[in-house]
Amino acid sequence: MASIDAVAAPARGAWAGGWYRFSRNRAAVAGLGIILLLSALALFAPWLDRGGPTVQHLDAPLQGPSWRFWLGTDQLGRDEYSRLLHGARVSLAVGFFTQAVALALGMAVGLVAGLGGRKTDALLMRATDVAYAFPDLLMIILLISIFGASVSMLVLAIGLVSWTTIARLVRAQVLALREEEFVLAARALGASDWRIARHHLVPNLLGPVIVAATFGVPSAIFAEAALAFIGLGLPPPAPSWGRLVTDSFSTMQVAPYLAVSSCMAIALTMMSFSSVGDGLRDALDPRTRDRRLLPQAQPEHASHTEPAAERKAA
Amino acid sequence: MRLSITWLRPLALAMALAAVTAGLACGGGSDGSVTNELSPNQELRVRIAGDPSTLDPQLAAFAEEISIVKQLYRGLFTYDQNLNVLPAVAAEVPTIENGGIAADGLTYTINLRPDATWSDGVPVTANDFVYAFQRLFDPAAGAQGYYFDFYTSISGAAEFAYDEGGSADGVGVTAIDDDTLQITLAEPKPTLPELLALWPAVPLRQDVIEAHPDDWTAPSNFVGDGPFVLAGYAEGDQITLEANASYWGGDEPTLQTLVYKIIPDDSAALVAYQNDEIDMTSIPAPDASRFEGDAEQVRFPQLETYAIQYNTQEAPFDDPTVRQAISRAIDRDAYVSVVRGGVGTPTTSWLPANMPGGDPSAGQGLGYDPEAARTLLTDAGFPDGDGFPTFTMTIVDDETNRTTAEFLQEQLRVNLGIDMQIETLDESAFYDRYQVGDFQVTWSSWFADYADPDNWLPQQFGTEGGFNVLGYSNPQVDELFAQAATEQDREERLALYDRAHKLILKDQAVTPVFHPDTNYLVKANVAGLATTALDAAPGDWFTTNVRILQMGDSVPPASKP
Amino acid sequence: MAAYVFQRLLWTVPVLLAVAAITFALMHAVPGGPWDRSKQLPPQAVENVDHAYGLDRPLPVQFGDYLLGLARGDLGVSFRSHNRPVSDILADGIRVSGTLGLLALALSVVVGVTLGVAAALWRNSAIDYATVVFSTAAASVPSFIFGMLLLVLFTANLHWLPSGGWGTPEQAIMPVLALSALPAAYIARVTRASMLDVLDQDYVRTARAKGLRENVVVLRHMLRNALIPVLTIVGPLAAMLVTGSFIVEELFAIPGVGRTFVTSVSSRDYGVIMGTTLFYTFVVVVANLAVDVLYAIVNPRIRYDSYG
Repeated sequence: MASIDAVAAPARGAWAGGWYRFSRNRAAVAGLGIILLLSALALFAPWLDRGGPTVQHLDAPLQGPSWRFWLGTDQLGRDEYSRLLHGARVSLAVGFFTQAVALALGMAVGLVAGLGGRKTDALLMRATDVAYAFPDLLMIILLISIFGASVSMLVLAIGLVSWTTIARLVRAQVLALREEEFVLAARALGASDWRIARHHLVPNLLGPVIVAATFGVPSAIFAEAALAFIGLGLPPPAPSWGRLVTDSFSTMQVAPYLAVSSCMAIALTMMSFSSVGDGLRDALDPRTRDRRLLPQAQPEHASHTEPAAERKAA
Repeated sequence: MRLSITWLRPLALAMALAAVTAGLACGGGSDGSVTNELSPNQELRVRIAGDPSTLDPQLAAFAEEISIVKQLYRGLFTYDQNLNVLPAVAAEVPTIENGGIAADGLTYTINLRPDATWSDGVPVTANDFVYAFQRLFDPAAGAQGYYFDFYTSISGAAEFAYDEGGSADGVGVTAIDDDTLQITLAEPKPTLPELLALWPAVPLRQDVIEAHPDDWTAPSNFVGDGPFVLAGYAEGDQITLEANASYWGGDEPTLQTLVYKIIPDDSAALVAYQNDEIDMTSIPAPDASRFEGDAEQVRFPQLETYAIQYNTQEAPFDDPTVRQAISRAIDRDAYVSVVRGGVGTPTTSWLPANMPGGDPSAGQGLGYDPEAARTLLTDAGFPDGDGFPTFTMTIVDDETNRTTAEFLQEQLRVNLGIDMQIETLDESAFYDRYQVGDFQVTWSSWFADYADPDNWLPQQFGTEGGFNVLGYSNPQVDELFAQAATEQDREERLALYDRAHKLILKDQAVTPVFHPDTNYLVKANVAGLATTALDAAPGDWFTTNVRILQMGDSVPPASKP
Repeated sequence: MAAYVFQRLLWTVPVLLAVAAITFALMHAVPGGPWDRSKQLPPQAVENVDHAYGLDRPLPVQFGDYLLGLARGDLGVSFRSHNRPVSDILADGIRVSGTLGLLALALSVVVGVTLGVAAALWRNSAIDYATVVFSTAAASVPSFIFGMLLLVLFTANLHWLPSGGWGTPEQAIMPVLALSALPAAYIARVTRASMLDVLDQDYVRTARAKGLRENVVVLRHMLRNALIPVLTIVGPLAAMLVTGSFIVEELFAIPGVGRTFVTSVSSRDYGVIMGTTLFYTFVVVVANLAVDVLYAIVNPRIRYDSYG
């Protein structure tokens, strides 16, 4: 079986080269650094906060930034800095796990459709059409209304409306890769569909998929904010960035600093993920690697990722 | 029936005060630029938060609907500024003395003003009321609404509405002649004149409704008998009312136009007010401190009580001691000042003090006292909150409710060491569960339909009460309610309710926290605004009093045409 | 090509049916009904009103009835808006949201493409960095915050613009700005990236080598190719914009279909939920088809055979 693994080499080479190209992109590396930093802040929030995110100082509501409260306090006198830190946990979790759900679903559907027979393919792709056409916002509102608002429900709901793009992307890649020499070779050597998928297809199509997911993370964080504004946010008192920015809305004329700090947090995250996404695309996506082929037609599986996800946010 | 009038005296006093305060606030513009001259442009622009679901007076139930419908119709009676019942289409208020009410209290004979007319010039007759009441109890029309059951003491009404073999002709409202209406009751209803002054009991035009069954409330088809007529309705944008040229009531409005601007968002409405696009708007709680004491602020108490409500059937809240401990653990002063921006009155009483039968000292033995709260919780078997199960407060997801729940959560954690979770639902999902008592703890309010404990206690706290979602049952309280229902002497009746009220508070069937104030900004040139505690929007019972004054030299902020 | 388009259009019917069925099932699975409001309707009234609207019938019967109505073009009536026909509500809302959305789309394309092209041509210049900052800021400030900022500035303080409503050009300015910020940022990013890709393509170098003037090169050769990826995202963006934005419409008191949609869900106004959902679905499907067709027109290398 060693011979089968040997022909998988192109993919590994692409990864190593990808990392090299990525590391040369200063903006992307900076973005990655910020994401790692934010993740660390989120992870260690309980040790880094100042007094806890839900402790109320009823004697000091809506205070501006000061030495005691670095970023000021909200209506109940809670320390905005601590709430932002803890909000990062919720929002980043929503962002990451949402994309994990979307990736898992999208990869599964895309792989099965790409590798399966004509009938399976047609069936799955028509189902994908329906899911794509179904209004995202409605699906999320209905699911949350039925099952109640919680982090896991939110992740599931947003994930459930975000997988279609990835499924189409994966299917198209599989269809293209299926005819590549190394896959044909593996098949000739008697590898099963599953083995081919695992060893040859997945490593090769992971690049574009990860790029799509990277852009999806801030969209999910944004969607959470929009849902909070509509009244379908996570239950209090756990702070999320969406909740903080929504709460800052009604106090904007009284305490504008609350809007500033929560928007800054979201902006920083957004910017980091965008630059990492751009960097990854340049580094991993074979289409941009080989510029001679640009611009490439992707009618059915064009990169709808961001607008499709942002439809929720709008 | 002098009773019905004197009932409202104490309330009236408070209302008169509120009216005076409002008048003062409006009179003295901040820049002193308002003159005493009437403005040539007699237009009042009011903000409403959303489209009314209906303009059918028999179905209207929510603030924006009631506010508009009140301007479009006049019923048999109306209120004066002290909420005394006055005749409107009726020639006089019937009493036993003037022969309008039979000695057994079951038959009302009401003479109508011969000069009352509809906006198309047709006289208002007794038959318009007969039709309206038959429609009110019709399962295909009025009996789909919220208020028909206020009037089911009318004979034949319940049978028709509840589909128990009744019919439109069986409803005990008949026209003796064009100007004489007779109402027959199945059981005495001392509050009937008050109820007949409310919007669901107005006359309706059979010919108009039958000609346009689906859109008789459209501006093109509308015919009313109130001081204003419906002139235009742009969905989602604004509703325009104009003075009714053939109005007959003696309180002809000075205003020529009433505009209801639909602005969904509270903060955006405040901006619209600041830009002089609307003449009045409510002040959102976070902005309250900015406008406290502002010359344009109009603030007066409402007959409304916010309370923590429990499912008293299930542990641990089946134990009154636990509920008492919670009551003693809530710092109501801090609540009102922080969450409500200082707008409202902290309370331990379910009945507002300014209501008949209200008592400011009620429940004060269970006010904020963390020490005592911990002792009570220990008595209940949970020293320092140990062993107290984590429980859930279920609320409608809006910002004030969320902040409230977070506040209460922290109070209970700090003062009692118990852990409350918060569950947020949208309105429909919440009330779906609330109505069947499917919650542990919740946060809700009761707002007066009319100012009497009759509207505040038996339905909420009686074992068989229609709105008793608490599962609360106290035989002593039930007994007092039964006595009060048949008690003819007012003082005695209120005393019975007072005893029941205090038992309920001792049990802490609910934990009252505060009575809200209506807190509005009203432009300095709006004069004559008279508010009552029953207003859906400030002054909406007396829109006919309102006049727009000419502004002086100083020009108001530029507004776009 | 025509056969392909026809096939795609035909396929819209089963998609709409599937979406209708899913929506119908889910919306009835949501707890609470249209009469569960802050005031409690007497139980008898609930029975009467359920009967009046046929809500007391089994769900499959209601759904079948809805489909029959749909086939006749009857979308039912709203429970919450004095029995207005859903088709009227939709027609009014679409007119408003459509106008707002197309204005926002036009603005975001103009701003986005201009910024994107400028940023790519003068790479690493101040313009480039400004574009990055703009697109990050516009993409990360939620529209309700941006909208409120505009309101506080231009209405509450400067008194230049009306706070909301719909009908005059002044009333359109702030909502169009608030709505187009995010798509403009997105278009700017995509344009910049694809312009950079095109910049060092052979045909661009060739054109330059032939001595063509720079603006001719930019316009005729680069932009035409660079805008193809932009075209793909404009389709979904258009669908998103013309179907209305709840947040912008809510904030600026605009009677559009986005507001109707979200409030219908929270008020369980079943007929309106179904109507708006089907409308949304239709717009998404058509927008995608339009993009694919346009794509084929600008890029002759693409050929459509059959669908599936």
